[in-house]
Amino acid sequence: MVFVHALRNALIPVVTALGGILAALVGGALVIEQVFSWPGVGQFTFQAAIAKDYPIVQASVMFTSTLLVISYLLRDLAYAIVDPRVKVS
Amino acid sequence: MATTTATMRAPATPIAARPSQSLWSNAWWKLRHDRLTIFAFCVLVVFALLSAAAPLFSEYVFHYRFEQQDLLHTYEKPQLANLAYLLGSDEIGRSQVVRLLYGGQVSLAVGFVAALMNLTVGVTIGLTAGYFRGLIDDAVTFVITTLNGIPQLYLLLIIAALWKPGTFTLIVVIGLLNWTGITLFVRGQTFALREREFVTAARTIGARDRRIMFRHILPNVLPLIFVLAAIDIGAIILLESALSFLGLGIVPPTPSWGNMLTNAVSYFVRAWWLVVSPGVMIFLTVLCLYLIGDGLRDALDPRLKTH
Repeated sequence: MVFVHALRNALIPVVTALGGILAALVGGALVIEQVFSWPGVGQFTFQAAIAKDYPIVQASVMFTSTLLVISYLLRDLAYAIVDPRVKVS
Repeated sequence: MATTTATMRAPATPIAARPSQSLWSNAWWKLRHDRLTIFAFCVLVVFALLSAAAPLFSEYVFHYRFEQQDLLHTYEKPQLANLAYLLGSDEIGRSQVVRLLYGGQVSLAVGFVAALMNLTVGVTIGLTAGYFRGLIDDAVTFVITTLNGIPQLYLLLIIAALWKPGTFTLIVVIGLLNWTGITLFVRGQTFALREREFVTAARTIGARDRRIMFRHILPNVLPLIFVLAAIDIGAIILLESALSFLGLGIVPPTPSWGNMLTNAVSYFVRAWWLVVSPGVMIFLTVLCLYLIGDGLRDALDPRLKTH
């Protein structure tokens, strides 16, 4: 009962928040990678930006932006699953 | 029918007599009775006053300038014996407490000024886009979706790499980049409000667009803007900390809560107090701002019942 009727409706705002959370995570990863000196995209970009190596910065901004846009797309598709009023056209 | 008559009847115990009030006086009345919000506000005011009085404190209380170094007294533990080392000293013997006060100046100034810029830009653009719709709205939406498509920290990283970082740059950059959320919100509200009867009424008596926007629509959005402002300042202080932590925000001789953490992390095992004090200050300030935002929302929402 709870899972079928309540969860389905409760998921709608959760899905909305999900897209924003990923955006925050990508940015947050930059700080986390810096703190623990993990070699990730964030640290890579950061070092490139410090060294004024613009092609690398451009590429990784492109990469993360694509990641974000895809996540927004997935979020919108998830809406269609969660909310029967939304139809994928 | 029975229920109608029941609600029509005067309540058995009269509600505490209170003269009829406008939204603002009502909100103020509710706010004064909200202990938590008042407390959060007081804490914030105390922080602001302490930071504003930082030069006085450093000269008359601690007798220690914020850039003053003392290599004989590095990594002093927090102590009461020497007031300058009340919160310990860092790796080159600078007084942590004095730097914390000066850092508050920078962090709070960045937060408040940048938030003010955000609000001005965000509200103006949001109102315009929501009111005029059509091409203007399309253009604004395009800019916002583009800005939102790039992770914010990366955007700031690029800008910080392009221009010399500093307090002024940081305020301008954050102030001119962080407005998208506010704009989207104001735009949405304006969409709904512009269809309401009072706007039609204003238009029929010949009010101009600008008058309708700022006199009729803006006051209806304003309560929620205050809430957004409180949350925005908190977010900006966190953002400033993150940027300064990465070394792209406030440049070292000037202390800020964010850049005090930068070095402190490497000395965490040896000198934990260097991490704790700026961390606690950021935490408390942001928490207070969120509490104030929460309290303002409760106070300004006329649909919520008065306790």
